[in-house]
Amino acid sequence: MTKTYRLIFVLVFPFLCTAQEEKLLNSHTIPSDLRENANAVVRWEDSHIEVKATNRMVHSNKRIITILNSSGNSKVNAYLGYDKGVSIKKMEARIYNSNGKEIKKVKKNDFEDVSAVDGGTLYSDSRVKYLRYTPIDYPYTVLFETEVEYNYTAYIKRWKPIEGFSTSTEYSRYVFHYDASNELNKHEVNFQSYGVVNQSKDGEIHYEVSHLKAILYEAYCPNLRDITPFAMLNLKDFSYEGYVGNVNDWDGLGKWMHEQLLVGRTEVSDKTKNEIKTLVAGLDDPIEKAKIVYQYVQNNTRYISVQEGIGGIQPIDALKVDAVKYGDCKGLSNYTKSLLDVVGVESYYTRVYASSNNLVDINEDFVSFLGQSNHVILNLPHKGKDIWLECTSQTSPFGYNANFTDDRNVFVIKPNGGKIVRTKIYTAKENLLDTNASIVLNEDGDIEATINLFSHGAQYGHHEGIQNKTLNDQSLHYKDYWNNIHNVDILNMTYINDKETIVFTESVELTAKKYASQTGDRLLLSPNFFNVFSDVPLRYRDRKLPFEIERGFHDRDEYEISIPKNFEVEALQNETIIENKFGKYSYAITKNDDHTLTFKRNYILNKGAYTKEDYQDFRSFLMEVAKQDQSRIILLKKS
Amino acid sequence: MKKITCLLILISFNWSNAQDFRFGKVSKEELLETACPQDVEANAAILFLSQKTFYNYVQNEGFVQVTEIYKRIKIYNKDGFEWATEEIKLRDEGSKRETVTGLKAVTYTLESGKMQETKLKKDGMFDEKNNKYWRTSKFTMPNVKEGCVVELSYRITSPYISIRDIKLQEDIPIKELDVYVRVPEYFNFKKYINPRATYIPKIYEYQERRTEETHYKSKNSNASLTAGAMQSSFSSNTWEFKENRTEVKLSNVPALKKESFVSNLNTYRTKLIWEYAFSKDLGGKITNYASTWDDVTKTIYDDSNFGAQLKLTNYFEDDVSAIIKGIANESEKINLIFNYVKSKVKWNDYNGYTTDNGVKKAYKDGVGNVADINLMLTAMLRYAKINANPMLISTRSNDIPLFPATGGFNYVVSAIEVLNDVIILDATDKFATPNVLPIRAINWQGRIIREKGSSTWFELTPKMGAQEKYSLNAKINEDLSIDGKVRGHMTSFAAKNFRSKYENLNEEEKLTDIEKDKGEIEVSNYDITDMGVIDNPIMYAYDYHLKSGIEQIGDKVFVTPMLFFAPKENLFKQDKREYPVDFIYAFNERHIINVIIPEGYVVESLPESSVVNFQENAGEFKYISKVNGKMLQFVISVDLRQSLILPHEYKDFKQFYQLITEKQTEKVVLKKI
Repeated sequence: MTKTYRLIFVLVFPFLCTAQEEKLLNSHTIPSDLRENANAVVRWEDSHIEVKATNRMVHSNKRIITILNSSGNSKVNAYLGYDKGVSIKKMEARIYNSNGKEIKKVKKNDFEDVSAVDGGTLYSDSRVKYLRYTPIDYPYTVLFETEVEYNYTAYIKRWKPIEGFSTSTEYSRYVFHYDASNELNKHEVNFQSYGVVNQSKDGEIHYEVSHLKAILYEAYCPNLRDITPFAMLNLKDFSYEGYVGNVNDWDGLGKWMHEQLLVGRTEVSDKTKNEIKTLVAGLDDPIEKAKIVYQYVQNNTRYISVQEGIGGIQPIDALKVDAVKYGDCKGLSNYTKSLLDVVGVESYYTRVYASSNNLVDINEDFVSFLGQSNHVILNLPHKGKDIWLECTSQTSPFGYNANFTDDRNVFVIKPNGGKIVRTKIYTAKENLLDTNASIVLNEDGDIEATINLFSHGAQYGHHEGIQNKTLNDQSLHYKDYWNNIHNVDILNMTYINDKETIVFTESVELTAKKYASQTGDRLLLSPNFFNVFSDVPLRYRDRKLPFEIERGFHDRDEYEISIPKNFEVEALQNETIIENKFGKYSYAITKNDDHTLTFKRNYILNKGAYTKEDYQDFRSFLMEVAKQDQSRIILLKKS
Repeated sequence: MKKITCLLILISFNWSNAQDFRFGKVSKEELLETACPQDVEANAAILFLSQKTFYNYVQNEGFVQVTEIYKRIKIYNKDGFEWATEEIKLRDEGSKRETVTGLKAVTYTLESGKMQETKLKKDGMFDEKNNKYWRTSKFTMPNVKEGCVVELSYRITSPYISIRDIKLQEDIPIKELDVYVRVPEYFNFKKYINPRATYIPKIYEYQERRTEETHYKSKNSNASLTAGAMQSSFSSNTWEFKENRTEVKLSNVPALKKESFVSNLNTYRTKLIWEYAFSKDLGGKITNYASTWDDVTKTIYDDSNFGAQLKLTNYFEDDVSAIIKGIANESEKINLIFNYVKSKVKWNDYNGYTTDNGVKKAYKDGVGNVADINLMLTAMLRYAKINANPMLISTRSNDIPLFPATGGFNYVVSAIEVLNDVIILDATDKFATPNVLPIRAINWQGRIIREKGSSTWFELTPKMGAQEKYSLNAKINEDLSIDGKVRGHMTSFAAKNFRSKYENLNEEEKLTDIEKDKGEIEVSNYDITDMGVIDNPIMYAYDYHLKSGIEQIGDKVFVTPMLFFAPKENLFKQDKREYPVDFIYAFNERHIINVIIPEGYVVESLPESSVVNFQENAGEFKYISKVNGKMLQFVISVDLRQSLILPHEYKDFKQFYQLITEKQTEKVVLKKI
């Protein structure tokens, strides 16, 4: 039944006739449920891509979008990125007021044309043409029509009809024509649940969808492309910057990339060769040798990004890095690999999508040369395990890849093939922060404390940066880190960065006035001095999206508290233990003798993916942790 | 004669310094140095910085500005590597553009005790066209390692006469600095050291004679000095004229270090600012650019993108007449016109005190830059017989304006002078109201440029700060949850901020926002009035049910009267400051709180009433508490009347804030009976 209905609908819609277009340019025709939660409404998005030859692909696009308010301005997306391999045949925008009356027309040469270099890049040849428009009133509608010719087919525009949060879509179509003799890879998700009509056949991909409501952002929610319709395509025969590929499996792609882009770029100067050989002389263990090479690279090079032509995907020659002593992730990884080759340690160039949160995998079921990675690391197989080297950092410990390239599928390229491998997962147990402290409380409520923090795993990465800050900033950092304590004076700070075991130790001495509040003969204080959780996420009346905890952690606290001689304990909390699927929390304060107390706390949050129904329990758990963390004990002055 | 002087300076300079600052003469000591003696925390230091700016005389072209830069930079550690990358901004308007030539750049390292030089090669240099007006030449040095020294030198040739500001302070220490600028007598500049800088250098000025050889046969007497023609009327082969030389020689310039609560650190940087005042041709004829405020006023009113724009009225006359028809009250007229411009023309995010497209086009298209909008506003107000004038401003991101010149300004608003006061209007922000400007425009002082040629400074720091009043009712239930109601009342900047934040939120998002950071709370009946009537205050009210507001230990119950309004921490954690804390505007925040305690409890202790002042009258904190049977009443107010806290006041201010924080978090203790 639904199918027939959809079919009719599709038959009515394939071409946008004038009357329909007029209707779409008028913002009053937006269905009311598509306005709900929306800052912008994609009225019509029509992508038509045709592969004319391996090195020629034409993409025509017509887009009509209505912007409802100023928060929707960023959704206009009337821009085209380009470089030498892209020629813009047509680019035109028209802007209409809420009644559909044309108020502005922007021709190809009227678009702003700027360099698309981001802050971290010294130079890139990519540029962007974009529409610079100041809305006079809301809503307004933009009609954006483009035709672009690419001299490559290695990357095919993806389809993601729900473009972002707070954006609804009235209609979206994606058509892709290719030579049916060419093999096509597809990755299609969440089609059925959103009513996508898929009429693809040999030589043609054809998706349509209509009436998709806006989704609001919610804390801890997954990437939209994992929970809404999303499609990626890739051809077996492809070309890029003059390179021609014919592969449709990871193994073959790895071989091809090795032969086309990597081989013959790993020579280094004899001087460097001798230097590195001298450094590893007498060592047999490949890991010991690799550590010395890694240290050598860290001491001698730095990260500078230059992206030009094929250089966007091919590493610069190791010999060049050897001469200038800088490179981007590709260049530095390849250089490190070259040096490892010199000392006889096997390592492999690895493509990865690096991100500190929103972990993104390279999809094992979708083979593609471009578009699934943004970074390069090195893979060192050792006794059945994998070690991952981040070659752009001058300070990272050997084999440390938490918070950037951990826990995801990456593409390891070997001379005789390539494969998808999962990088190291840093478990909750490994991501340990141990906080030990001894505290002396006096009768005015002031404290003197010595604190030691030992951070491991992902938490190592969160803490070790402090050592490079100025003394003033270090002291401010601790005042912020312990913002539950007012009137702090930091007396001393020392650090030990053990890169061998990957543990960072901070030792801090401080005093704080009036930590305990005085009421009459009593002192009230929270025994959790140095690790108070307070970041409870928002409450949603009607949570719509599932949620994820991407990395677990374990915080373990143990404090010795010495209380003034003329005081005694009046009230202590009972031990609290909370355990559920999200994690475990325990809180205990015990009396050792008349003047000393011991505080112990454990808080473990697990990695996990949960349904929207679980969110309320999750929030209650965190709320309970926050509440318990702030609870206080009472000391009474002896009479 | 001049050559001899130069030689003397050079010799004495070399003798008085142990180090040799000629290109290539890097010493082993410099390479071995592990930290900057003046600032051991510095990641890098400029060992020597020299800039020479002068005007070459070029046959058939006239004077061409040349700047020679030479830097020797020491990099101590990895965080200092960024100093091995140089970006040179160049003006490039197609036919007229600045160029870089003669680039020499070398990295010096120590390799097993031996000094090694690595030269920058051509393929390490990049050129990027940023937009219509600017280009950037970039390069990064090869073989950069901890401890290395890099040297670079290049010259910029510019067809423009005006001189860019010269930085005399960097974000890292400068050990030695040697700058000179030589300007032929035909060009006159005003020079200033940024008055907000904390490091004040000494400047020397001399006059020198200069001789140029000319080979003119032509007798054409077009006496222009710059690009296009130097076809002169004199016949001799040598030509003598005077030059003004400005010199700055400094040792151990401290680094400019970042600090919180500073909106633009650059405003505190020591720099030499140049303003092109006038040119004098060979015949002695003077062309004024700006030198006195009267000149500025005249120049600016003569500018077709400024003065002329203010005179145009025909495009709006009918519309404005209709709007103010029958209205006699001045402030009513002002408001009507102000709101009309705001609704009619939208700001395109471009600054400028001169118009882009002109007021007429802006009016027609409904879009304009700052000048399009606010000059139009000024013209309309004048048309309505209001005494409005443009006021020139430099935005926070720009810098601070100080001398009679237009170059320091990049923004214009409309100012109406009334008895003992000025009403400032900026129609580029839809939530701005009279004297409540967007933050970007509130920067020290603005210059009112009157129609009749006079001008005056006016302090931009708002006299009326943000007013926030909250009433908080709380009834503590027997299960120690709290039910209550909150009413809020906000004016001026507080109302403006609220409107911007809430502008595009739907009902659900508003609720989520108000519940944020308030603990285990449920808010209902959230009602906001006058979001749209921006001349009115914002008022809101909501009911709440709070589960996490109370702490129970044994038979005692603790509650902070301010509940979720209580501050979480003292924002001011630094012990001392280099630069002022800038609140931008003063504020007054008052909470009136009524708490009803549950049956079966009595008050054991109540925070005491108290008053704390900062700098006598600059700030006042009041805390009044009262018990009335089951009802506890509190009035808690913070009144900060001074928005800029100077470094020498900071210690007191921090303490003042500390007391406020402590008092606002103090708890009432209830005891079960």
